Amino acid sequence: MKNYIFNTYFRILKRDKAKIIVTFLSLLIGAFVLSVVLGLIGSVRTYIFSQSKELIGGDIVLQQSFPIEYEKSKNIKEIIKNGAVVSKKMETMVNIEKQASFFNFNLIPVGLVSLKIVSENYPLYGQIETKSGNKLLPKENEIYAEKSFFEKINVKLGETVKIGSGNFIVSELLEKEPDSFGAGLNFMPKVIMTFDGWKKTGIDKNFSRISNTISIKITNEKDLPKIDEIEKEFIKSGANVTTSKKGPTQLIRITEAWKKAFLTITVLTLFLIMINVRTNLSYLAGYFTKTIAVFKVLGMKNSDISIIFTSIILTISILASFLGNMVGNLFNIFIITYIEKTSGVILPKPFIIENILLISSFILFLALFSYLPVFFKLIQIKPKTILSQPLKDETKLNSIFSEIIISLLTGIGLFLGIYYLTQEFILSLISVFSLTIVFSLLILGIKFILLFIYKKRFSFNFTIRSIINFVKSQGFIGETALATLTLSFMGIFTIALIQNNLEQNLKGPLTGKTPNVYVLDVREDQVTKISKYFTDLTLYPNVRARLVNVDKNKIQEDQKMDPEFKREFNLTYRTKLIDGEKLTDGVWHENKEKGVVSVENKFAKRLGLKLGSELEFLVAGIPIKAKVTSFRKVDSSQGLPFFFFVFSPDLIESAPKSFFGFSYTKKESIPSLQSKIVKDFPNVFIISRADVFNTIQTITNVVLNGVLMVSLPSLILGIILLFSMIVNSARERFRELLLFKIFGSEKKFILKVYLSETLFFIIISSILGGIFSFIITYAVNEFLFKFEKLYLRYDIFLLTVFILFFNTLLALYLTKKQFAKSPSDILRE
Amino acid sequence: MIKVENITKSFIQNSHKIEILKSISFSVNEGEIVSIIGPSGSGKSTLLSIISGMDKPDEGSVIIDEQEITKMDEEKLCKIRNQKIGVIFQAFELIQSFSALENVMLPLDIAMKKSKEKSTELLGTLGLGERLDHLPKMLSGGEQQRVAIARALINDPKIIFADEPTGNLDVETGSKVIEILFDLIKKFQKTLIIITHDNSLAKKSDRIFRLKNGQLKEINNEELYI
Repeated sequence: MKNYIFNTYFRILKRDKAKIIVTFLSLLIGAFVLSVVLGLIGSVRTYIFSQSKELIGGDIVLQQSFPIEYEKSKNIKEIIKNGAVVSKKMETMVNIEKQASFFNFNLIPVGLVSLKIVSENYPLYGQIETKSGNKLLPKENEIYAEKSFFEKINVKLGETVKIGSGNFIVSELLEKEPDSFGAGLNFMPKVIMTFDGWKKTGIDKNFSRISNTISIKITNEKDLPKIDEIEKEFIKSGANVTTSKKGPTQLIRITEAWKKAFLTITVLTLFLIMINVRTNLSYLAGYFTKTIAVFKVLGMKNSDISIIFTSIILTISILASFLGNMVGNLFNIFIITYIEKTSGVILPKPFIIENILLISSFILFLALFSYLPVFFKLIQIKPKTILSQPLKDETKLNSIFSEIIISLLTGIGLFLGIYYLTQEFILSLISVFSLTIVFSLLILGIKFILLFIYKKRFSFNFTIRSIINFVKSQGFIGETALATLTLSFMGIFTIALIQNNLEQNLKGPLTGKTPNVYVLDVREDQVTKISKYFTDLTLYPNVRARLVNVDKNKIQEDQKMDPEFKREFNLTYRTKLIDGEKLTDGVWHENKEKGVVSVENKFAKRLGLKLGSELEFLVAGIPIKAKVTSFRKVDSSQGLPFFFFVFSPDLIESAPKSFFGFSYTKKESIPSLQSKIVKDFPNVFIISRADVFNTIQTITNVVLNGVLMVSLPSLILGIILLFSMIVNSARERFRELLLFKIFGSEKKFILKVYLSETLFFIIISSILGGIFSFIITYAVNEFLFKFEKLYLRYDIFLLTVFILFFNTLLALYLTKKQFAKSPSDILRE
Repeated sequence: MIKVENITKSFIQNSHKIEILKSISFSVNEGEIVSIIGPSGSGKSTLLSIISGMDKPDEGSVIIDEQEITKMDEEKLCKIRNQKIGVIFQAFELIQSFSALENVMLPLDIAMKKSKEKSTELLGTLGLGERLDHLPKMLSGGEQQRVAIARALINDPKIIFADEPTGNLDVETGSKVIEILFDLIKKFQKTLIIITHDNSLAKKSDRIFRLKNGQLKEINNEELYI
């Protein structure tokens, strides 16, 4: 390489670091985000598929709320003959009681737990692990509990508790259950016992909220094709079937949902990186324009200039992607270790060379494509640029056209990246176009607003006019900084608003109508007796069933059907509409009609139902058909029981059922009520409103906090670009402002103008971002969540205040030395 | 109008004290055009910055319109700069983000006075009526200097200080600018102190001072070329 090329390259890197820091930081953040998202998703997927059989509990697993009569299945009998092993499992919720104190032998309820009852050959794959190292199942008079049990419930290891009529020693701290995550996420403390222990409790949970599971392990390879036959057989009978081929479907669904959310944020982040890099490099090119013109006058070729600047970009990209990968992987290790400590799940470590190479290549690619428009500008610089010629309109027009063409080129890099992440061509194309269009519209909008305000600037006082002039003078860089920061604020605000809206809607408004207590798993024979324990108790019959046909369209066997429609539903029957229900179409069945059903209107729309549609359900294996005769609107905000399907009594009155309902018992009376209920009705559990809300809050917080964490980089990117603009223009701008001193302006006025100029960007972009985020939240609430009410919060703007504060500190720091100078010092510079 | 008494100014460079101005005294009457000439690096700009209130001397005093500016606090000095003084620079020193009109309006804006009409009229007088909305980068050197002259005159100051106003201009443009400046000074009856190394410009002044070896001496036209 010629000496002067290397010297120039090295000099720019060394002396103009501040001017390329935005590019470096943006690419570093991009590498970090990609390595975290790809690494974690990869680890989770590897874990799920490598632990598939352990997670689901067998080669094939059947689940439903009624006992599964697997012994009657010809296919299963055959494979058992060939050595297949069958394991039974039941899962339900129970109340735990313990002695009030050492001196007080009275029993008090201490908590509600998720109880798993297993047969002697559990687990079929993997093994349970306890803190003491014991790998055997609990004895008849023992239970094992996981860590959250001891944290949330006032019971210690070795203590005796009561479940139903049986006493059990909490003998082990359960560290790992192979299939604990297979069914998805569960936030109740978990406890495990055997069927012998369950007999001791004396609790009858028939037809209640209970999940029955049969897991089968095939030992003879020749029986593997039988998995498909067994699957078909039991889907028809209404069971939920999971096979090791498909993997733990619910967990996979949750992982895919998280992956989509994370990838959406990642794509936005990558887009902002591209903008940042391009803007920063444009600024750099502008800064060096005259220098390059001089080089050209002295004989430097375009190829030499290309080598210098391309080498700079490559250097920054390689360094940034290396550091970003390292930090990202370290962060992943931290997250994985945290997951291991809190849940016992050991995810594979993400240090995958393939990922590192891929991410580095992508970052390099992204940087080079972002650099392309700048590259074209650099090689077009002519030596006569040294002479300051006025801009001509034709030149401006040409550059806008070439700007558009070149901008489209930079989208290619992003498109390829998104395609790699999603493997979907159309989606990738739409994503790039949508982002580009939205961003371009945003910049155009900002441009027009600024132009309008600029034309009207003489209507404002001098301070505001000065700000308008400064913002306008920043040109494309200023507009991009505003647009980037607006997008960043919009992203963060939207997530915070959605989180709040979801939380508030799920909690429901705190009106007199929201019950204090919910009562579940009441048997039919207990209804009259249990009502005497409450001053007011409303109970509804609850029949578990699976939807098999809608107008002769098979639901369970349809692979493309939304899994939401394939689950078990709680059916009920009555002849009256309840509080919060209102007919929207059709005729309500009173005592007159038979064989009919009323459906919740939004759910009916999703299922594509009309008045007269015929539904077929399987209730305990028996098909029940009903005609849709009305649609109801249900106000879910009051926290009252919500049923998608309300039948006429004739159809399911005699079906196996349990009852659940609510009461407005005073908060203070709930603990004593719980004690009495647990004692006299061990199968029933009552849960307070506070417990429900806490659980919902935990679930929503886990999901949304994760998304919020991944979206923070986008805000940081916006702020980086803004701060870079402030730092790069500070010296020049402040020199100009100090000229005001020469014309008689006081120091405080100059400081006021300077701070206002820099704070303007943050304030305007946060207002714009706020407006857009309100609109998006409204749309999400209206069309996705379909809640009746929209809850907004305004404390999100505290983030703006926080950033304003730091921006002010930065501005004051930059101006500290400048203010000390006299006008003649300024002129001498 | 201006009385300068025993102005001394020195700088420290590599631990050595360099005396730029040594006990300089002179006075300028109202309506006079005074040139200060001297070789490059003689301290002309330093002297100008002191007598225009942009810098403070080590010793001595400057009295403008019976007010001693050397001992004034910053707030009062700002008022003097805004109301009594106009300055024109060699490098024009226009605010790049302000249009020509806004640059001229600046002193009146700082004084919180109405500025647009007066500024428009003055720029029109200087032949820049079509350039009101142009940014400095869109103007030629001569046009920029005319804007700077308008800016210096807009607040109706008593004194104008000009530091090498033609230094960045070609000969022809420079003489046109000087012609305009002198016409305006005479028309509005202002006092002008001009720093220059151009002897032909100095000849047009009422009085000439030469700054050499830190000392100021009044000279006549014949002594210009000595």
